[in-house]
Amino acid sequence: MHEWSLAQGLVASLHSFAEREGLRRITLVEVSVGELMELDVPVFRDAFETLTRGGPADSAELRIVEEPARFRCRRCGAEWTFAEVEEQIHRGVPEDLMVREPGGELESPLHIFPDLVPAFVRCPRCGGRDFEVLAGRDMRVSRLEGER
Amino acid sequence: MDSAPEGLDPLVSLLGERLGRIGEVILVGSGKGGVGKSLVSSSLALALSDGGSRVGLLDLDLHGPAAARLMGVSGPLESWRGGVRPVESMGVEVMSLALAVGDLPVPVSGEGKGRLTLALMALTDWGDLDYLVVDLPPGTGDEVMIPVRHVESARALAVTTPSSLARDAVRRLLVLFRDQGVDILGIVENQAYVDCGGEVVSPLGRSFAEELAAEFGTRVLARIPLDPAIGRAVDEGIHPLRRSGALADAVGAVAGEVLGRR
Repeated sequence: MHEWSLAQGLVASLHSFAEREGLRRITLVEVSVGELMELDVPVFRDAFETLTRGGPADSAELRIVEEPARFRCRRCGAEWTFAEVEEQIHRGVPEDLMVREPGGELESPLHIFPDLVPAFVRCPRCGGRDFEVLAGRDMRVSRLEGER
Repeated sequence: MDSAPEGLDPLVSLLGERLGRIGEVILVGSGKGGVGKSLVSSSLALALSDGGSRVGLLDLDLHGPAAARLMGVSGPLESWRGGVRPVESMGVEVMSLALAVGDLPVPVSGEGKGRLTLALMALTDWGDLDYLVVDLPPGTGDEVMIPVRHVESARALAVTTPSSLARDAVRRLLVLFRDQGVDILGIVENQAYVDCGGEVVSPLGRSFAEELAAEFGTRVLARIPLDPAIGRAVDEGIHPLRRSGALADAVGAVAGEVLGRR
């Protein structure tokens, strides 16, 4: 559900960028989205389309590229992917910590704060929590096209 | 124009939008652990709220959050399209990672720690506030640098105790604040003395608060005594401001300074 606030941040950053660079229109926005975020893409697209109306990014093409998540254990050196810890990510959060959405649905705190992953996930090989997120943690604007 | 833009971060922009609805951000730090930053920050938030201001309390101590416990709040969090809602307690809106992880450890480091700090600041939907009091962790790491970097015109309170060890750590933080252009509101000395039936003794040692204040061109705003009522209140789950008159008086003076200088 916080996809709307992420879109709000993205659109605000686009407006600042257009003003700073003297862009009349932004025509393409490519966003790299970390797999760990588990972004609800349709909701994010809907929010982006709504929030860009009337501004320099109105009608811009939004291209979303998912960046696969990868992890490396600092203790045993194991590396793994999102799929290998998906069960932990989706079932490892105690129910009393699941974030409540307005409709009563529950979502993982990791959906909002992906960097909390060492609190809820352990290395599949040694069980440790001291690991790096090598890739796929957050959202970045990877490409912009516009007209001056 | 066709490029991969530098310095374009949706969370930073979102944080800017949030800050536009907050009258003032007050950073409460020390550099030293265990001096009572969470006690001072939560007490200040309560005192400002009691005075009629709309107040938020943000606990940025990612590894040892204490503000939620002091304020008597727990998870789970609620989210909506505007972000994550803080939890209200005694009129103060509270956000802390403790609400997301409970008693679990948060062993984040490196880039993850900076991103987590930024996300906590940017995704919390405070709405309109007069004051956001930020409880900083010990040291001068990412959790301190992110607010210092992104919150223009933040003002800071430094919490110390009567100890040369605390003085050294607080001094480092004050140098950082000064060099980064953070306005230093003043110094609060915690565990400053014990009132033994009229006789004032300083069991922790010599006070360096006035020396620090003079060096950084600021003032000692309050001296909070060692009061057994503070510890008892914490153990009973009651905020110490509601049980210690000495704490209430001291924090009242700090709140007065905050209100007076806005």
